[in-house]
Amino acid sequence: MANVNFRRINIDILEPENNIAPEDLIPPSIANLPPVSVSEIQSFGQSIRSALSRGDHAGALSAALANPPYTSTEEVKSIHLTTILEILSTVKSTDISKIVEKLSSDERDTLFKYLYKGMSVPESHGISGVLLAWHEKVTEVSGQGSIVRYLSDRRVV
Amino acid sequence: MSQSLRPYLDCVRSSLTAAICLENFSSQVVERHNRPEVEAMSSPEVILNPLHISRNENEKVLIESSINSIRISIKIKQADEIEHLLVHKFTRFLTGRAEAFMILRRKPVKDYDISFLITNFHTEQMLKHKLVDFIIEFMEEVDKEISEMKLFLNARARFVAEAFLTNV
Amino acid sequence: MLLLQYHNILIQSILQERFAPDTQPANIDQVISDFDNVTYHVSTPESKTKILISLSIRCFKDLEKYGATALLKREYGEYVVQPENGYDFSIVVDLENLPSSQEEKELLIQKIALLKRNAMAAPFEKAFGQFDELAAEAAKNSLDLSVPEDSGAEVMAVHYREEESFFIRASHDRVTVIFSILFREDTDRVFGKVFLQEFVDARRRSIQNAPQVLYSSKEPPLEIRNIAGVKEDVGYVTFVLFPRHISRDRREGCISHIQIFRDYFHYHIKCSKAYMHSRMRFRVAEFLKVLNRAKPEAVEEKKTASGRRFGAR
Repeated sequence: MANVNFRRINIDILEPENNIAPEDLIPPSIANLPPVSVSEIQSFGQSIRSALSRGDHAGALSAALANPPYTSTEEVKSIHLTTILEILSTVKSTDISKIVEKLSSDERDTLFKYLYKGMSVPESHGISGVLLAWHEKVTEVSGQGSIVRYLSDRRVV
Repeated sequence: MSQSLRPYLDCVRSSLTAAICLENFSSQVVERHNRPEVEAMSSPEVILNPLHISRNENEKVLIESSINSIRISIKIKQADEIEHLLVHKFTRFLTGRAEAFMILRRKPVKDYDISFLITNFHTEQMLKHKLVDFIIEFMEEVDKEISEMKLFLNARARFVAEAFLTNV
Repeated sequence: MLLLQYHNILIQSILQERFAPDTQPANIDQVISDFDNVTYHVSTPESKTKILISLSIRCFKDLEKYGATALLKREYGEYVVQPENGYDFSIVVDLENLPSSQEEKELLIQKIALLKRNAMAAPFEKAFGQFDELAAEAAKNSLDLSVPEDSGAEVMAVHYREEESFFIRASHDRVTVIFSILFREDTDRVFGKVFLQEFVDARRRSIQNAPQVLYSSKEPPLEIRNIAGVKEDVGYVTFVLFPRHISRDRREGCISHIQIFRDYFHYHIKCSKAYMHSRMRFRVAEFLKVLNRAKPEAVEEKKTASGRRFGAR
């Protein structure tokens, strides 16, 4: 005990009953989903890009938002983020409203996750203006509820 | 207001309005304690997802919320050495008066210039939409103030230099 | 007050009071400080009518080298006495032996109040003298005046503060004055940079007649690079005085003005800081007002027509 300041030990963390591990917070609906591999997400991104080149922005976006890789590694998640940011930045600012209205409520919630995630990574600071424009339009359609659902949803992208 | 500032502030406003949704909540870990969970970080189940809003790499907002408290950190624009200094002086001036600003945190969160901590006790005493108004107005005014101070400094320097040199 | 005064106002007011015809002689013993760690001692050691004014200046040894003694003797002539212990230069004014007219009295007061300025003026006068000689010589040899000539004139260094000095050097077409500038605080450094940049730009922008100002924050200018004690990490401000600045009738004013540069410069940095502070104070008060708007006003208690309150019984 000589070298440990025993008054500073936080005994509460030693009590297993008090503590919930981060894994316990993952909702059961996604806990058993199989993780997506890097090659899978890349080929998925490729198919979305080809839809994008056909001019089907709305289709590409809802396809990308339909199955976000919740249970995968950070690498996979960031690849998918890049794909989505690519879609968002190719859409003309006048078309944003139209596309947002076509999305389902669940898709809009997922879109929010990607918007906030996009703003948190330094690489996308260049397109913050685009993300803010999207954010504005999505909030117009789905209101504060989506933001609250973003805050409390443990299915993190 | 510049064109790109408005969506930024609107985004902060709607996010804040959604995030300030607090209730009284006693600590689950320590008996008879009631502390801001976002600061204590002792029970992960009452902490919500952090929320980032950025306009560019120099202007960012981080909103961290929990069941009974919310922490808002702001990174103020600072383009050069002078602005950096002015922001530093100004935020230090403010945090020195944190007592008067009930919701001001005495120390900013790492990487940010100034932080606010709003707890359920604040929202019980104060109107939520006005609190949001305050944060938004703060962000607007702080930018204005810093650039005005910088302009003033330059103007004064110019005037002083010219006055000195015309008299030689 | 935009420009600083060259004289010491405290000495001026003491002497004015003493010199007034109807005041009783009184004992004085006062230490007065001035810019650049200069101290004055005003006292009446022998009798109440004999006022001894002593000056202590850090760089007096440097100044003596450049002819300060002669200059002070010229200025103060009959009043000069043996320096008081601990001071560098002293004069005595006998109240019973003052010049008769009011104007002359005023002149004397003014002259005494400029004690520091006159002491510091020695190297400047010397440099201007050298400039005259060099210019005459250059004219004789019909040198091309537009080519800056490396003159043999010595660089005069005056270490007027603990860590800061100024340097003067004459050549045939200009006199160069270099101040070393050192900032104690980061804030001062940043503010100082802004100010100095404006000094540098002023000539280009609006006042073509101004002396040329150069500023380097790291390297000492060429003129003084080989002088011992010149440090690398200090800022240097160079004033290049052209013949039109040091024509005979402007010389005196120019000396006073260049001397006061450092004090003027720092004075305005302090002023800016003070202004920023009051501005922030105001802004914080405004923010508080906005925040206090968030507090709901106390709801007025509703009463029944008969004046009874609800709820409370």
